Amino acid sequence: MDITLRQVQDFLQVLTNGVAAGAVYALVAVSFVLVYKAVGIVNFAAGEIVAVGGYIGVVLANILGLPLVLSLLICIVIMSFFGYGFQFVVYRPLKGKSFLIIAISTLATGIILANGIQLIFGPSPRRLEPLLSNPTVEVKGVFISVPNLIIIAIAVLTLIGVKYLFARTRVGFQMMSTAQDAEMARLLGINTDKMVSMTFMLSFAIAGLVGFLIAPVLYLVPTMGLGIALKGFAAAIIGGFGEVNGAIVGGLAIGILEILFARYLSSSFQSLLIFAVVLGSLYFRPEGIFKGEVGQKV
Amino acid sequence: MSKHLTGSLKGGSVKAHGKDLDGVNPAYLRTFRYISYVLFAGGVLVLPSLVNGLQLRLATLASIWFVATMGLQVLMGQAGLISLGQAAFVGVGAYTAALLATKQDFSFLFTIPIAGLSGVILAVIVGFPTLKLRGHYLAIATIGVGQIILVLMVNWRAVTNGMDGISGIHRPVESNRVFLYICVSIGLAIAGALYSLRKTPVGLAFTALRTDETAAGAMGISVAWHYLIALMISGFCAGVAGGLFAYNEGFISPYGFDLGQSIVLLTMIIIGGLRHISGALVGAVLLVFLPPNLEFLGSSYMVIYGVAVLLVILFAPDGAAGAILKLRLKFLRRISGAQGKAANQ
Repeated sequence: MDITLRQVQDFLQVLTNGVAAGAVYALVAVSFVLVYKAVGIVNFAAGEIVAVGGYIGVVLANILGLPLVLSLLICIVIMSFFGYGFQFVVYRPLKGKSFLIIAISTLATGIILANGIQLIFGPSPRRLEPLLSNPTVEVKGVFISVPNLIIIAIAVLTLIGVKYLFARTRVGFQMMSTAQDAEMARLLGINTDKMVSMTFMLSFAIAGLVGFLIAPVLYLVPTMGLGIALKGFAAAIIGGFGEVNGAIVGGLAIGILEILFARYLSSSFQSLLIFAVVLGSLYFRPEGIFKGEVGQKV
Repeated sequence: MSKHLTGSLKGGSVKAHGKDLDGVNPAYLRTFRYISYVLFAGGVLVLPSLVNGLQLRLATLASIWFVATMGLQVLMGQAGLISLGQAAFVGVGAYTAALLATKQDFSFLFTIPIAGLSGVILAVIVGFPTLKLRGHYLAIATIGVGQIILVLMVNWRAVTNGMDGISGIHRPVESNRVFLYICVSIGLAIAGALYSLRKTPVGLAFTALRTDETAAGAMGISVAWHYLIALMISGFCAGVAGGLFAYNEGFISPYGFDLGQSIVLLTMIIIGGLRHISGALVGAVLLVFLPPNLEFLGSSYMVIYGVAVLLVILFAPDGAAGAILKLRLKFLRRISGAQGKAANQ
């Protein structure tokens, strides 16, 4: 079997698309894992929150006509406040309630958000006007889309920022100790309520960023949240639930796998692959790629 | 550890059961029960013969969704797990029944149990890897399985005929009304079985697991095994409901077995009342009969669903059935008065 230059170029092109998709999934998974680690809530509204971020971007940049970078910053700020408010619906009033009750409340919030978007913006797709008219660059015959490059760059910067926050800063340490053992952290004088609020804000800020990033590439539809959340959950499971590193690797793996599968095998069975991988990883490696404790301790 | 202790002392519904009936004359309670049983039985026998046209169709759908929702009640209300893929289980049951009925000429008496069995098999496939882990894995795995099933329904054309679906499923009886009676009797038979299950070791184990999983495990209850049983029961109910659905519609396609439908089923049990099997009935009836009467809300009715679920979870976690039972208690206390207190002492 001969491999032509054209095939190599094609492969690289597909691969960069996969990495960009993977970077998005990684960010979604990180946003979701942060809340899970901090307060043990599995946020089933994660995808809808990304959608809200995207629509806020559309309102700011398209409807109000603000410059893109400014819109992005405002979007992130709005989303952090949204995250701050979110905890008063699904976390604080339900403290100590069972997993089931909390899961349902996040699910209901997701339904409200998705259908609220539909009520406001209608079911037809929206799109953030792209920055460039000809959004591809050519490197030795490989066409790479610039929005994808921007997505990858911003994702890498964000992930480095998150890692730095938890590895080097005082606030990051405090957030981590709150996540690990809230009671102990409180005894040590950490304002755990504040740390939980900050975690929600950080998580939602990242989700808003994702929404804004994908808005020029994908079309926004009110029901988009589900697909995004599923990839995020899948990334989190593959990476070992509650692991930031695992979420990143899991996201990348899913992005690349799914796009290679769609390109070379079958695009109609693409989403089958993802969940087969998820179920497979639950069978064989429930602790994730990086080993961690997930089994039930009795 | 201290958290678990206080949790089991405060939130234990086992203890609450005995206390709830304080101040109620047991004789009144017994009479009230008999009266409500008679009323219920009379309602079930008579109501289907009164409804017509659209109402008859809705009543049949409500009794079918009642069966599927009962499965969720066992899984969520009793065992404390969450499934976001109940519609996929329903779909597998529906396709199983439809294929057996149209391609193999199986009779209704065989297809419905086999449809239930297909739900059980799917439950084992989903539950086996996930239930050894924490509860949220099941939630996510059920979404995932729901998507896989949906993709198969749409794309595995050789078997499922894709978006065109399967048609030509003929009901065992001509009359809509008789079919409604069949659905209602199957629903009541399953409800009866589930009621008696609650007093068995398995049913008590579900309650123990929901109340405090760690303590239940320490008492020697096999956590994963009982969760799997709950999921299998839930899958069975969904499969049977799917079979009935296929016969009722005469035609099935991937529409109606997606995550949206799973969420509708989940909404039924939450609004109806998670803790009570009767909640499945109340929820199914409410959510089948209300939407056609709420058309003035337009597309916003899904928002209303979401808000309703959130409000119920936050402020009335026992749902409509819980509210009805509370009213019953109030009524019984009032008529018991001082006499009831004396009888209790």
